[in-house]
Amino acid sequence: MSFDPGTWALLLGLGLWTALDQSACLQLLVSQPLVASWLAGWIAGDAASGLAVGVLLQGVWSRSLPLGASPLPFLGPAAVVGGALAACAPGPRVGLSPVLVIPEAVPLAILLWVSIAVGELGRPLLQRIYRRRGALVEMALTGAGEGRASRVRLAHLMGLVPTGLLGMSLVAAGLLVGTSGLDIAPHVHTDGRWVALPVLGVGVGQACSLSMKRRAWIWGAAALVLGVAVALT
Amino acid sequence: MSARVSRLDLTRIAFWNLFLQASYGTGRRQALGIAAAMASIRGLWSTPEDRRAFLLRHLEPMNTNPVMAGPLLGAMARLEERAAGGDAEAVSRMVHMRRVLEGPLAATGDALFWAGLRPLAGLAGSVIAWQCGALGPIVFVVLYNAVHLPVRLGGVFWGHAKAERVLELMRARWVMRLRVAVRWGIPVFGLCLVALGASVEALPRWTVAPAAVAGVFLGSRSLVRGGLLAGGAIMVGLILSAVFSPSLP
Repeated sequence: MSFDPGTWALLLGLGLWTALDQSACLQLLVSQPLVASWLAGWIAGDAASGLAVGVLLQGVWSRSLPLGASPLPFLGPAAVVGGALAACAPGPRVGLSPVLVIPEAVPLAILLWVSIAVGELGRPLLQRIYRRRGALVEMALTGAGEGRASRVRLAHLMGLVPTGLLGMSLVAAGLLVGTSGLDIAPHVHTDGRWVALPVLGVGVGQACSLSMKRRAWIWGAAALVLGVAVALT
Repeated sequence: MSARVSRLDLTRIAFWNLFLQASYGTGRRQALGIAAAMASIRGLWSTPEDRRAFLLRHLEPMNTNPVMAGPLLGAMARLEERAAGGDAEAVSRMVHMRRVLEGPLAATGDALFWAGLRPLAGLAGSVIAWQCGALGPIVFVVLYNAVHLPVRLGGVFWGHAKAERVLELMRARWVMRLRVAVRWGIPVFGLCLVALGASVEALPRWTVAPAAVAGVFLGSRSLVRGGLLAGGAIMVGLILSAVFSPSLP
């Protein structure tokens, strides 16, 4: 399976936008999985599958915080890869909710793993970019020494280039690896909800541990009781 | 030269604040972004020497939460205005204020926006997406930016009005209310999502609650990174799917 050139271009464009939105500029949170995967799925032809993967990935990285100078996983490109692969995954879909659908278990596992790998691989690469800003700083200091604000601003905006290129490269690499993985995966028709629901559970648990650090066990007990009660009914 | 910062100047600072971290680096952190934003009021200084000194002092290392940088930039603009107007102490007070406030504002902003509003909006958006599809991501973006953009952009104007009293931001009533909303909203929406997952009409519904307990237990102790934990959950799910649902009808 593969995408046509127009879809590739749009997905790379979305990768660029989400890569920059995560930290470099705007930060409107279009880079968060819930939005980026949905948009990627829509571009690739199946918005419902992309959105379902976005719901799953949103919780996965909810505890990843950009504290100090430690970068996040590269969420935007990772979510674009996940959403696009969900849209092109082979086999029938199964309903996760009245409006969300997911692929079968094996394709879903592959696309989630590839997406998570892209996000985690992006973290050290972003760190490397952050460590190599010397030339931009020199350019800005020279401009400031000459009293030229335009040069300071140019040096500043040039910082967007490596971040954007990294985001697009990771999207391209993730899509190539992911589509190859989906092509060679064994065609075992198993219910994708076996993979989706545990991932949803750990993601929600991660998110909730943020607000209940010391009394997290209370939330855990409530979730267990509620989950079992609802499942029984 | 008039030593006044106009509303247009503040609008320009607010615009550049959206690009604050374009050149973020481990050395000077957000310094280039701060200098690029503050360059909007370089007209306060008439001589080349003063402009050089102005640009160089804003290229000093600085790191704070990008949302909370708005009020700080506004306060710095006010002190630059005073310095250009003849207040000999204003520049040193501005440098001191910047050093003193960057840490507390970063801590408040990270807790409020990254660890608070973002997961809250994410869970609320996920619950809505579960039932209504595309409305979920839209609600997520609107909910987050309804707080984010006023602080980041409007904060520049607010900070300019408050000057050195910009620390009042951390005791503002809306900040307290947002903290309460985050404290209660995250668990409530989280439980909603657990209930929705457990209501799926298939055997995998039994996996949601135990997985949520594992997530909250490991997450609260920072034992495992989210990606690794999800990778493990995928593996467990694959094994369970092979055992319990060898094939779909």
